[in-house]
Amino acid sequence: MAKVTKASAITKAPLSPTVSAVISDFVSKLAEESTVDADAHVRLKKALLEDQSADAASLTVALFGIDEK
Amino acid sequence: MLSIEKIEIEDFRGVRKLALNLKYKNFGICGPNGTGKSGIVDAIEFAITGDITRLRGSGTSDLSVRVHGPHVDAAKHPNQARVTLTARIPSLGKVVTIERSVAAPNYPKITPTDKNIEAVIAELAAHPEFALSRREIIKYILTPAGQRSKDVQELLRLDHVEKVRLAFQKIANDARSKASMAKTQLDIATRDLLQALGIPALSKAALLKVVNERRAVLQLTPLTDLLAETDLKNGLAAGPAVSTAPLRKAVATAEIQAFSQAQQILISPSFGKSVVDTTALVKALADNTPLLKSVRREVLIKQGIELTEDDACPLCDLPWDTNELLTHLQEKLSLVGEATKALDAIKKAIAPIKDALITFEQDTRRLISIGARLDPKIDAALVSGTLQQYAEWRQLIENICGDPNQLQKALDAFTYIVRPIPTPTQQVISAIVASVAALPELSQEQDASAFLILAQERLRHYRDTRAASDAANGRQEIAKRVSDLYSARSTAVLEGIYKTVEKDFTDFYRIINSEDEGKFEGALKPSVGKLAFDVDFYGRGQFPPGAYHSEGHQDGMGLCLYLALMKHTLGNKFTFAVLDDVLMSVDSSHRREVCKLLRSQFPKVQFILTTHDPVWLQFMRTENLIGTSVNFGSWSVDTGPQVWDHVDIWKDISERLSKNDVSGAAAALRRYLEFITTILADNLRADVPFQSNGSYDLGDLMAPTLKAWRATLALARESAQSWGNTSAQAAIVALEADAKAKIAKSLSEQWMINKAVHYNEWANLQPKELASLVVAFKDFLESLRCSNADCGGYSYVSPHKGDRQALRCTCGSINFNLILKK
Repeated sequence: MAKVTKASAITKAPLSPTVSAVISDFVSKLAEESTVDADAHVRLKKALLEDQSADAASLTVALFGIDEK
Repeated sequence: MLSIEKIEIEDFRGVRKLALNLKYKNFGICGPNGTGKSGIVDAIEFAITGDITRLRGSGTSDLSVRVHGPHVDAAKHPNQARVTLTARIPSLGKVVTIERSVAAPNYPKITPTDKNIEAVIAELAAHPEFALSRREIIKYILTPAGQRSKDVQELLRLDHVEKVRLAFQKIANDARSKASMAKTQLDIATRDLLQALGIPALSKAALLKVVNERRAVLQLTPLTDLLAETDLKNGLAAGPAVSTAPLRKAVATAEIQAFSQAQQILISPSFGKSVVDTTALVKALADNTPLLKSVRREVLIKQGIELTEDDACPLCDLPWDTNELLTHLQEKLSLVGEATKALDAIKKAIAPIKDALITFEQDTRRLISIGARLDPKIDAALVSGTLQQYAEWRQLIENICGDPNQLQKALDAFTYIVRPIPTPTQQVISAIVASVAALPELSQEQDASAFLILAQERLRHYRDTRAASDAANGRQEIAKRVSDLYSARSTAVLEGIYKTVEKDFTDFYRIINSEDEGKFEGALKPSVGKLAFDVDFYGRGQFPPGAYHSEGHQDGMGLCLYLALMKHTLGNKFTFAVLDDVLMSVDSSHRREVCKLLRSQFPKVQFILTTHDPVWLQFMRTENLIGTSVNFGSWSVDTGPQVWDHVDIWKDISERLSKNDVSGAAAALRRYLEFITTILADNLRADVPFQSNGSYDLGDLMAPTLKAWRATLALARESAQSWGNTSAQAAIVALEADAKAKIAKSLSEQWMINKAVHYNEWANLQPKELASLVVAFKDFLESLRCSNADCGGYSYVSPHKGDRQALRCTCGSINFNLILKK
């Protein structure tokens, strides 16, 4: 089989305004209600808004600071 | 989003070669069915997304972009089939060229190379709702609430919101499951500690009491408190480990009793019933091939979602679009709901069986440990073997939900775990029990020492498992709070969004139905997994849109809801939409209002609208909705759509006449006049005799149109006279005279009495004779148009129904009263 070159990473499209509104509201309420500690809040904010993570594994790491696996 | 300047199409679908200049303006495409309009929509979609929606969906399993994207004569040369789009991306202020070939649909040539441009195109490609047909738009209206919820969520890009919700829910479920497991371990550790201490319930006072009694025997200082670091055997000379410490008869006896209880549970009727019930569930799954296939698929899809992290396949390194693949997998996962239900039921049934087996295994290990510490030791290899088997069976049962390929082995395991323990193993167990019963009592000092060593070891284990349990409970609590908060906030925000969309929808619909439904109200009502949609019906209450409203009104609702959703979804980025015959059945009296809606509410959106109705196109043009347009007169497989340029028709006829092509010029004039008189007859509310086949030729249309024009001018003159408006009266008299002269020149009125000048005979005229007629028609038509260059629209009678009130044009430059003073 011929060697296949990996494609360059596809630029991530920004979150849509609707999604962004939902996530931003959640992240701010998370801090307001002190649902999680400050470190977890920073990690979750980054995971949800910057990395656009939506899988349980990534969000578990963000929430608890450890890989639960 | 983007705005298109031009599109060039080669050997794609029904098009051989075609270039359309949209000039970033709204663009109309008109032509009878089968002339290639939708091919242009396909080309735009393909250029942006690399896909053609029409080649997917039900009934299209044999179709593909690669095979059926190229023109039928270029099927073997997909590299020839290409679409090039030149567009501007307003948000970036950049012009981009996207060139895409059917041979490599996923590798467009995008110029210039720019990550931000790629991101915009990636977003469009992921959500191609910018191009919608009537069938797709009406799905927001006439659909079950559950499906509407999915469709609207897709349009609002809410799949990501849902994915995050599911992820947090999974984290909460996992945390609950881990907390439950930690609790089981803590219960076992507590029971072990109680056995070692010989007390019925755990309390600091009870523990210190029994410990200090032993410490007193050993003349050790009594413990005054029990802290996290307290060592129960503090002060005891470093003695033997638990495994070699003397066996305390009371503890060993208690542990043997615990083992016996655990063993009895496995052969008890209640446990047997649990096993039978669970076996039935698993067997039902194993026997249901489609459901089993669905379960296997779910497991595979879940694994796939977990592994879809890089931008290429981990096996062959072929590149893939991660977002597209994840979306695809999530969609597939949503289709295996029955499988999820079956797995959840099995998981629930398995839980108590698993707990009983874990306890039994734990107690068996204690029994083996006792055997090893007896003097002489009892070889418990057979018990270990049995323990190993139970552990394997438990693993098989636990793995049912994770590996549906092992169902038969799990079913076998269910039959094994309720059988009595094999006799040879039972004999070893009996030997251990007998040996413990025969143990001599230890001396008081020996017993106290062994007590403290074992109690400390069990206390250490208890502390560890309790810490683990506390941590697991803490995570469970946080995960639940986070999951609940996300669900609550996303629901609240989405309700707000739906309210906004609902208001926009209502406002838009009122614009296009101001005459008869000015107080219309629409209501979007979200609930779990559903989005109900009710609309007001003339103040009689709220009903589903399909209940009483006509098809035309439903079309209007579909458009309004789509526009409201797009406005909210994309905000300022909503700059482009392709509406493919979307307004097919909109009531003709509402067309002008639809144009007004699009023009007034979405001035920055470039609409590309296709229609098979030339009157509709003319409406769009006279209402200044579209800046440019193209007419497809006909289509052939060799040539593709034949473009008939509205603006250049007179030039075309003139060129044909200059080449003595009287026949071609006559045909073009006739076709064009048929086209334009259709529009004029509608504008002027001419009394055209009804044709049941809906086909009207020039003979049917011209005379009623001329009559309507004359009658309208006469009515306008009488009205001006009745109101004493002399200047208007003079202008109308001049118009009437002008019309009379121009109509006379066209000889149209003589068709009925002189066959030689009938349009059927135009092909037999001399070039000069036909040229004279062409000039007459052109002059006449010009006299019906507004002289304002920015308007140029044909006059029309307003309103479209009811008493005639005014003769006007879109810009208002032509505006004659048609109401007589009473």
